[in-house]
Amino acid sequence: MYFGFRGITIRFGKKTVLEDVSLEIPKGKIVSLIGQNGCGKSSLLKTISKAVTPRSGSAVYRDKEVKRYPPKVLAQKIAYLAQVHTSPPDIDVRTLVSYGRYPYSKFGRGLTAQDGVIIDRAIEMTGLRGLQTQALSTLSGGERQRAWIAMAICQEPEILILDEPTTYLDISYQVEVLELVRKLNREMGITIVMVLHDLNLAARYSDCLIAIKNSRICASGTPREVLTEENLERIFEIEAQVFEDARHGCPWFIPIQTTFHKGEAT
Amino acid sequence: MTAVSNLKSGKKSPYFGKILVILIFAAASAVSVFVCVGIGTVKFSIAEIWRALWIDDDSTARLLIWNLRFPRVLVGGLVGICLSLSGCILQGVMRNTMASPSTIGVTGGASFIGYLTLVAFPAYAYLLPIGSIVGAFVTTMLIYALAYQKGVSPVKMILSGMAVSALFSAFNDIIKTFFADSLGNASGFLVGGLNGAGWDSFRMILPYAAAGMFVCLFLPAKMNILMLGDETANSLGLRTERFRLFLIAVSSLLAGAAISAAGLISFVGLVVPHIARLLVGSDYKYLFPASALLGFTLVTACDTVGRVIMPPGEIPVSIILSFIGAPFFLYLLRTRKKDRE
Repeated sequence: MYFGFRGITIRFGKKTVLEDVSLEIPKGKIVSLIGQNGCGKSSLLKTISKAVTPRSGSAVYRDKEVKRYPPKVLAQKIAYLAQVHTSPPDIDVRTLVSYGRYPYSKFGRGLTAQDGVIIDRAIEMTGLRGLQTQALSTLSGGERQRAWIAMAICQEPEILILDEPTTYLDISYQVEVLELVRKLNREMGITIVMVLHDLNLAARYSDCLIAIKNSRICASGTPREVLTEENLERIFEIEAQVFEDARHGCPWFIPIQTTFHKGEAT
Repeated sequence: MTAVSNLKSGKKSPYFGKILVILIFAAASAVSVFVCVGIGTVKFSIAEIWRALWIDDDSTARLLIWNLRFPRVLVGGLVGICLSLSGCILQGVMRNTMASPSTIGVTGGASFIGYLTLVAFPAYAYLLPIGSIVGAFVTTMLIYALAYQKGVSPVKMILSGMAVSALFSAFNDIIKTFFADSLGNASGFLVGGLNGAGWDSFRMILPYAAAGMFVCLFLPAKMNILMLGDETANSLGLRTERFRLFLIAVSSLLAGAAISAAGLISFVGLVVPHIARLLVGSDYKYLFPASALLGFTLVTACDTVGRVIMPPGEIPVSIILSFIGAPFFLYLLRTRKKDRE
């Protein structure tokens, strides 16, 4: 297996969040995890950042459990962006981006000229050139998210994991972030795994959707296979009409009503 | 990397201001040595001080300067550096700018084990710093365990700090009452202050202080990564749990060394990192040197003020610092905005 999860069970106290979930992420694709709040999709990704310790099972990279890699070596392969970012408010964009070179740092040595080149390139790719000396706290939500993505680019990862990268953003910034993510995938060949809330955006920007419900994976495949009227009702408890977008060939839907009080209505 | 980009853009470094602040603090530290040595019931000019530092004769100047004032300034300076660095580190470990050796009760715990050491081995005063360091470490671990859940809640931290402080100060009073005889030999530690601090104290704490300061040279990169939160720091390849434990050990080393020489000095570890942060920002590359130098200047200056303000009496440095520190602490409590996210 290139990258994925093997037999992950996560429990918080007595509550079972995920039960024996195995999942393989195809190399070079954009994969989005979808599911209702609290279904465990973020928890699954958090096993990689060690914020969640699974009861059993492990994330796997190149047939080896991720915990068997030295942390810095793993950080050169897999970058992870948390949903909520914390940072001192006064650090400037360039400084934040440069922290992405930490996995390559050696004891007692500062940033090299090569690091500088890589940082410059990441700033260029994310369109932050004019903002690089600005303090993070002065940026808009979308700009800040781009700065964090630039930091992840500096890790030169094969795999980028994003936990709800569009939450709290205006729709224009959501699209901007997803466009950027897709650019990283198409131009640099980075495999993307992310959690997304907006199903239409997930369908538009992903090669593959994986839906989680009742602690298990209940659907996976291309957006067209997963985003069906039947699945929307089964997984998300809504009645909806699904259309296909002629231009991009991806499905999209309009909700009609919830199904959990279908009996009462009309 | 900054150098590279600055050459390209031809602009003045954005870090120029920070470096300037650090240079000013360095100059202030150097000046404070001469001012603090010169001022007192007998005043000396810079020339006299310079001469007395280098030429060993039987003059009053040599006696006063070399044997009394100069070592006292050095001890005060070391204490200031140690407490400030310790505060900086604790604020990083707890990821909370209200943390400092005094606010979280480390001083109380360090003195307690320090007292025990003096009582148990009255003939070996040089064991005192080791006792204080162990005490500081145990207390910090205790507060950390009590208040830490994915970042330290400030309320929990301050409250558990208060509780721990109160407990230890009760123990300390008991020891002081019942074992007064065994505690004869460490005046600064007992009274709190630098009165009588001489070459003995300097030699006693120098190894620990120097070791702590040396380690601090290698911390900034990792401290900066830690400030991004555990999730991000972990995924950048930092072993956060292990690093935190190491930081607690270093901050205890520094705090314990300072406390064993000067006893309970509050607020340095809180106020100094704060002022430094306002001036040079929260990048530890600049924060560490700025804090250390400011701590040096602040403690030596306050000690000198306490020494000369009401002759022939002397006000302990801890009291002068409390006059500055307590209002500042209250000010912080009121104005502190949610400074993360």
